[in-house]
Amino acid sequence: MSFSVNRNLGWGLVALGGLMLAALLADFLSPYDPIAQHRESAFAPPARLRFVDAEGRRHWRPFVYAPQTRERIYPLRLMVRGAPYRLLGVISCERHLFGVEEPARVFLLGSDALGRDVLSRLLHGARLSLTLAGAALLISLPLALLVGGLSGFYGGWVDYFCMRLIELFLALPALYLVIALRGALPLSLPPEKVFIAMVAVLGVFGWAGLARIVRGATLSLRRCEFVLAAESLGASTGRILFHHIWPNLAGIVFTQAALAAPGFILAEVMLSYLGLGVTEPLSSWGGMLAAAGGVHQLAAYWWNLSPGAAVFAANLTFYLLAEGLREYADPRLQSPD
Amino acid sequence: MLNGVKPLLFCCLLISAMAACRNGQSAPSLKKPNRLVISKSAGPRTFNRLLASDEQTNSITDCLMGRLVRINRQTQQPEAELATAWQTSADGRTLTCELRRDVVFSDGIPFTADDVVFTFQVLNDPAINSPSADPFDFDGQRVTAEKLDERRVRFVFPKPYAAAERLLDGVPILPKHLLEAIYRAGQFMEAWTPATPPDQIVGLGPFKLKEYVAGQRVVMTRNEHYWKKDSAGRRLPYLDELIFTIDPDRNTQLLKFRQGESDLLSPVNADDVAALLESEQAGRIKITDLGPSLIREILWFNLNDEKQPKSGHPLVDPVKLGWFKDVRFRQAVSHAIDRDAIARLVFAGKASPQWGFLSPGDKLWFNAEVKRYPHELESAKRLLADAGFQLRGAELFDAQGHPVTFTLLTNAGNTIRQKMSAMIQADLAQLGIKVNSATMESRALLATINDTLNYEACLLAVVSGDADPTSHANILSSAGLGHWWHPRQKKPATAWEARIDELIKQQASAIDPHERKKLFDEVQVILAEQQPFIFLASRHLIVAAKTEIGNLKPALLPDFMLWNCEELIRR
Repeated sequence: MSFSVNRNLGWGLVALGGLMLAALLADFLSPYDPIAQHRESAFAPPARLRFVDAEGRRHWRPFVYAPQTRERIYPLRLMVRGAPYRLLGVISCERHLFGVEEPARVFLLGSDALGRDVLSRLLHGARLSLTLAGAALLISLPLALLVGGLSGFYGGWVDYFCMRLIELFLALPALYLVIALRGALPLSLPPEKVFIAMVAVLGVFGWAGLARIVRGATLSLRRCEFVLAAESLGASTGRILFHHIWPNLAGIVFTQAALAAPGFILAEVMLSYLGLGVTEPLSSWGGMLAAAGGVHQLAAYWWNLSPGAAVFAANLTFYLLAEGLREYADPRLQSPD
Repeated sequence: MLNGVKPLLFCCLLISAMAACRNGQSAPSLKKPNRLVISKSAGPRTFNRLLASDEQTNSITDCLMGRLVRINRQTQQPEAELATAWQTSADGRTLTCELRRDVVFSDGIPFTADDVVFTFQVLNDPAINSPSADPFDFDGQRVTAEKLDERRVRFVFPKPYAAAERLLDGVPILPKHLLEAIYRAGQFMEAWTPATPPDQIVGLGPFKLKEYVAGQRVVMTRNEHYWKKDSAGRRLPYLDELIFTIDPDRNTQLLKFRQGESDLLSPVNADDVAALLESEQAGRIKITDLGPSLIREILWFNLNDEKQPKSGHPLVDPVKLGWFKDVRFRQAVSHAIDRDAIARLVFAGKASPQWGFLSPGDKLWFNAEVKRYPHELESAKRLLADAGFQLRGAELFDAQGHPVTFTLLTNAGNTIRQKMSAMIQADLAQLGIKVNSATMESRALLATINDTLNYEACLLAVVSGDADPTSHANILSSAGLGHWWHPRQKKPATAWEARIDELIKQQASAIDPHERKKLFDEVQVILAEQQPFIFLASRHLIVAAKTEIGNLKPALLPDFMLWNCEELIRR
């Protein structure tokens, strides 16, 4: 299959790769420490990169002014020294991709109510949101494969039992349960553990829909000739599942996984809005949106809505990927253009 | 598809055109009704003021009810209402009130001393468990009311009590002729619910109930029997109608006010002021900043040294409790917090740094001469070093080598507290203290700080109900429930808490206001020195009203705008 035929998959993979790279290198790409409060520049609007100074001279390098003064220009520099961090969690480093000299600041996406750089927080938030979606999938996918696969393969009372279990999970008011579960967890959890708890909760509630799809697909594969052939040759259940059924489910499963990921990202936004997300100082897209405030504050400081755009972009990426995967897995369904 | 859209669009246009015509026709003949519209976030849970426990219900039912004495919210001094005069006995234990003559209820039946005695009988009934009864309870003993004659009532206090007449502000006088039979039948709790027909709800207030549509609005009309007259002899209230519309969402309330659908907005959030400035410049509304309100943001450490009843584990990790109990640790934390930045960033500049127990808005009792803890990291570090803490690298360790860290609890979904929490985290990180923040839904949070008590530190606010020292007893006395850093102590845990207990007791029985002020000043000095509550900021109370509303006397005590609703006028 050529790349041009499946544009969706290609673009989806490129976009996801970009997102993941941005999340991985968040420390390096962000000009400031995401929790550093520049209290004198709260709600600073997005920095204007200039090429022409107050006297009308042109500069080849973009620059900014320090707040409330036009005396000096502060050109944007690459690979500047800034807040120390550990790149990829190991390498001690204090270079950032770009920055300006103090006292000027370059908040490309503005700053929030406490003067924290929105771009830096957004990048670190991407790390959290993507990890959350990935980790929740790692819990819900195996569960779905197991329950759905067994249900579809065996049929009979196993199927009946599994289906009722799936329906039970689908029928539960997930939001309230998630809130209750979060409320039941100990109070003084450090933010990292809250994150793990959220992953567990979302994963445990996210598998049921997937499992039903897996079951349907398994049921139809079960009756395929090659499965029947393997069975009549005496292959064990495990062998049939591992070698014949699950590999053929890959297309569907990856598609469904890509479709489920946006749900997990949105769930984080929702939990944070209810105050049940990760707490300060960790930054998350949901937390940033929740802190952005009411209608009027959003209208006045619109740049605090940028996590919304990030959620949108991430979800679009996953939908593109899902569409591409679906086409890739099932060429018959392609439109004949 | 498009074919379907067109007729729909046409219909919409037609309807809006019709609406426009109707507005055009009726507008010139429409006379501005003499009424006031106020948005409330919730409807009344009851029309029985004696059973009201929430702010919205209090504020609505207060317009229907009369009381013996009213605290003038602006001067914070008591004023004569249904009682024309009162006298405290020399021993401070009895208060005799002279009742106003020729006053009738909204159904035309005269008001007498029997109504007052009946009201106190209900108030003191433990089965009724009225939220208004708390101030009248003195260690299980209640204030009683006796009828001396038709026009005089005497209140007997179990203990000497200064400023006793102020308590009468919280007691609505009920009509005995209507409610006694219901009370005797044991049905008082079911009387005057939101479902009761409006004409059965009778009071001595300036308004009477006309209609209540659940979840939508409460409509009141003027009580033509109301006793108060203005200086020109005109019978009050000036307004014909008072309408409370129910809009749970704050943004909706703000939008309605901005579009002129409601007449008052109180309080206005600091963040929302900007959205109203345009209307103010156009002269349509007036925004009033009343200065520091009686809501003070506080941070405190859990100083409980007791054990959990079931598991036997200590409520607070003994290592941490050791730090928290050290006054130098609390003072260092106080020094490290940048209160000016909190006022500027969290409250958009509409707040003042708070240093002592009382807000400056508590005009008569505020003591400005208390110890302050300005934002000085060096002072904080010196205090910590004195207490044996050591800074190694960027981390603080105690004398035994434990890293200093604690969890700060606050209520979920409250962006103000969450911002403050993040700022405190950053401020204390400069001392090497690691603060984890945790949030809890409000009810669960209250249960934690009042009952289970297994937390380390908390960020919340205290609110004063009245501007009188005795009203703070619940917070200040070591046995009090609101003594959050260590509630319900059997005997005072520290010498300074014992001293505060003593001062509170002395001021309650002192009659001379200057003496009371002196005693309460000392309480404020001790609290500032010891920092059991680390006071952070008091937000300003900001209210807004249409310029056409007259006689407004906005004040810091609730209800901020409607407390003198009988005088309000529409120009």
